[in-house]
Amino acid sequence: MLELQNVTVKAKKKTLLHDISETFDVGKVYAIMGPNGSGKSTLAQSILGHPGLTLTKKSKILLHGKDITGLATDKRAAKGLFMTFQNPLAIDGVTVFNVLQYALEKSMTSEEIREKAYVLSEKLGISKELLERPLNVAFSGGEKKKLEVLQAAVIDPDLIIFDEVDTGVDVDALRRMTLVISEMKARDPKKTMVVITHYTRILDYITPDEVLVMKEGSIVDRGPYALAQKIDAEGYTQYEG
Amino acid sequence: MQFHDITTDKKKTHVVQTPGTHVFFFFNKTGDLSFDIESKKARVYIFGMYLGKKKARFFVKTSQKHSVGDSTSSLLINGVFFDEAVFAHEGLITIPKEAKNVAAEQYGHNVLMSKKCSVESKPFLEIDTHDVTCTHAVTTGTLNKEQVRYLMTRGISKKKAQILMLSGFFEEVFAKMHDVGITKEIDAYKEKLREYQTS
Amino acid sequence: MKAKKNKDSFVYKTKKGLSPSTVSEISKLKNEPSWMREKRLHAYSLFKKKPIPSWGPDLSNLDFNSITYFLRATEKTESTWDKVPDDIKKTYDKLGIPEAEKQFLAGVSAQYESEVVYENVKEELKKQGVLFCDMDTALKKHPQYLYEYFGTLVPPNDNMFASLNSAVWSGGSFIYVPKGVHVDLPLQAYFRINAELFGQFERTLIIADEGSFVHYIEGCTAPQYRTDSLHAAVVEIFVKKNARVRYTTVQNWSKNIYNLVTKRARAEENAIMEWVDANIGSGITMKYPGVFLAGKGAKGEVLSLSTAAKGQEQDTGAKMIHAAPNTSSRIISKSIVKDGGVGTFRSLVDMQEGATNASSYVSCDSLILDAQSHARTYPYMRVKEGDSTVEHEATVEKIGEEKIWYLENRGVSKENAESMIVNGFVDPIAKEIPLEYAIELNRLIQLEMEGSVG
Repeated sequence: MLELQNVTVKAKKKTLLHDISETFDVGKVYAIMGPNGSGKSTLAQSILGHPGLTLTKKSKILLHGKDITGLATDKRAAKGLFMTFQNPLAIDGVTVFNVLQYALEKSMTSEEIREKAYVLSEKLGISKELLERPLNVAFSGGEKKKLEVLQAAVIDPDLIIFDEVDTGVDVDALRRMTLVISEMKARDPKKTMVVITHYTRILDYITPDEVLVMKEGSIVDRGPYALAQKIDAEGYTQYEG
Repeated sequence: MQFHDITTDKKKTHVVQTPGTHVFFFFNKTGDLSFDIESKKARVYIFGMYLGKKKARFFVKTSQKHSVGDSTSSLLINGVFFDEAVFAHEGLITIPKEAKNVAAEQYGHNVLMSKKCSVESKPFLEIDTHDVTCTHAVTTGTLNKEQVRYLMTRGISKKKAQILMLSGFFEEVFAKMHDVGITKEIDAYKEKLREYQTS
Repeated sequence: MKAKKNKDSFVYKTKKGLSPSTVSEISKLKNEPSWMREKRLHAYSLFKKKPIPSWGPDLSNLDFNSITYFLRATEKTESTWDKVPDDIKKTYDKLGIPEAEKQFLAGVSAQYESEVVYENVKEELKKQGVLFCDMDTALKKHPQYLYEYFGTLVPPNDNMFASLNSAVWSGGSFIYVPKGVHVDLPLQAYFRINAELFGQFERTLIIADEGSFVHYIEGCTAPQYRTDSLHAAVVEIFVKKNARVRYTTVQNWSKNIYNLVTKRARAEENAIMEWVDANIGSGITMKYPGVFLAGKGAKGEVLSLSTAAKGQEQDTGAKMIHAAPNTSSRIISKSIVKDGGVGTFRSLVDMQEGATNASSYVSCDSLILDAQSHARTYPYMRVKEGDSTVEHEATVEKIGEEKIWYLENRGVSKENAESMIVNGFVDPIAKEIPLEYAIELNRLIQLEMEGSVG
């Protein structure tokens, strides 16, 4: 469904991604692991078209066979691509509910959005009030991650990248988020999910069909779920040297 | 990294013409100080400390002028004032249209430890372009009563709590100086500060 | 200079320019008591001595000799519909302003048919003992209040434009709220819809007696157009013990106007004074609502919002004088500048000796949308009382690209993302403005953002 061909990404003078080629098939779950700074988030950002990243001429990104390499971010989002943010931006006066209203104005009424969001907030264990709180007012780390997962579930896109939603959250929060994520998958098996993580706990709930390991901007290993379990046990030492 | 202790320097204008980190420091200084940032990739840090006692009077005017872009400046002045000390600070940050991608900030804490001391604070900003990030935050006044009470619940006497908090303001400046690479001079300053406090 | 009396429609006006005889003439035409005439003449002599302020926006183009200082119209005004600038007419259309209202807002018609609404309000107020009328009427019917309070908070020598206003004032609102009375319905100058309330030199006096509450609203988001370019108003508000007054202004004067206003309130023990000030229009505005916190525990607040586009300079802010213990104040200012507009914030927080346990918080944020525009902030904090706290924060920045990208990730187009961010930015203040205005205000800001206005 989504194909990356020879994607090399530079920002300022540094090369952040080297010649990445990978296919993300409809209905499959992928895990991306790798030490901090290996380019996992950069990969997610280039899929969504971050304007600060420069792709070389050879780089191509295809969605359902169509070239979207030059397409603006909001158009890519409209085509069903989604990524969670590790730190949703503190936008004065704008609430999560506002964001959902804007994102879904063409397909859902405010009432429908509200209903769906409330059901999800209950499942995620966050109070409804958080949906109407301006983003610049303090949220705890766990609340921020849950709100990103909530947005993914309300918008319900075709390909979702979960960027370290399991970092810095307690056991209960993780259980709730993964439940919501696996429900999304169960309801629509055609969904493609990409889980960026360091730990296998989340993968126990959303078992990957393929695990990718990144290091210094390249994909250095591929394998089945067992690979993730090996990393969990040994860390990234096998990729050193 | 270039370090300049300008406490006794009579120069009013300090021009930064090379990239890299430039650190300026002064203690109990009165006068006009203009920091003209004329080099791209210059990162300028200005640290000021004040400890005012008896009838001490300090009037300082600082100016962070970014005439070129891709530069940053950061000013931190913390002062503690006793008895009938007087302190007035006017701090201006200027960023003209030609200076793109500039980040400038000004922070300060002026603590008043007696009813008779007085402080005047004027943090000014004159910005003529949008490609900037400019912030300032200045607090003037008595020690935070909640914080004093919190320390007292840990068994610390009110007086000791105040001493602890006051040294905290100076520690903040020293810690930030340490972060930008000033290490050996700090011990000397701490010694000087101790002498001054007890004099 | 003699007044011209048009026998067909009883229009009174003085010749252009200012002199002691014009001032006397104004007083005579209004049939004022001699003490008011004395006050006017005294103010005039002070005005002659005052120089134009050397700080702030450039006022050198103000020509005091070409202004008509007094004009009372009953049905007609000097302006006609074709003199109204096109961009103003377009904005009326975009905001959906009805025909009759358009004429009134554009200074073409002097009256507006909302007498029915007003009559009902008048009845309610009468029952509560609340006095609400224009200043000219107040001088006739309730002179004791003016005698006691007029010019005591903003004396005629306060500043040049206060002197001018004190000499030639006409129109404005007078409100007196008796002890313990809460006026639930916000009083709007709009209710009194006739030209007398919208004078160039309007003078407003509000007295809230102990324990009372009133909310007064002036202005509207629809642009107001006048041929005469100086609006020099004075507002004095007295908030007595335990009383509370909120004064909301939404100003959208046309760009030819100099809007130079002096607004001051005095708050007694435990009184609360709130100024909500939205400045969208005018070519130059200079306005710093202030509260003199005279009584123990008094509270003052200024929420200020300003937008400055091409050809505009908004020089606004607030003043808080803490003269008693346990007083607190808060100043929140949000400013947006684009297309070469200039947004300047000036504030003064003064902690006087004796203001023990007093606290103040000032926050001013500016959003600069392009490289042509300018943001300036000049806060002054003077602390002479050791046992007090003043906190000040300010930021100047553009709309963050990362924030836009975040919203684009949710399928929001770039324009909508910018619009959302701007609306979010002004929201803390916009939401304090009563609903009808707030909706118009958001639409107006959106129009300003699109660049289709002005």
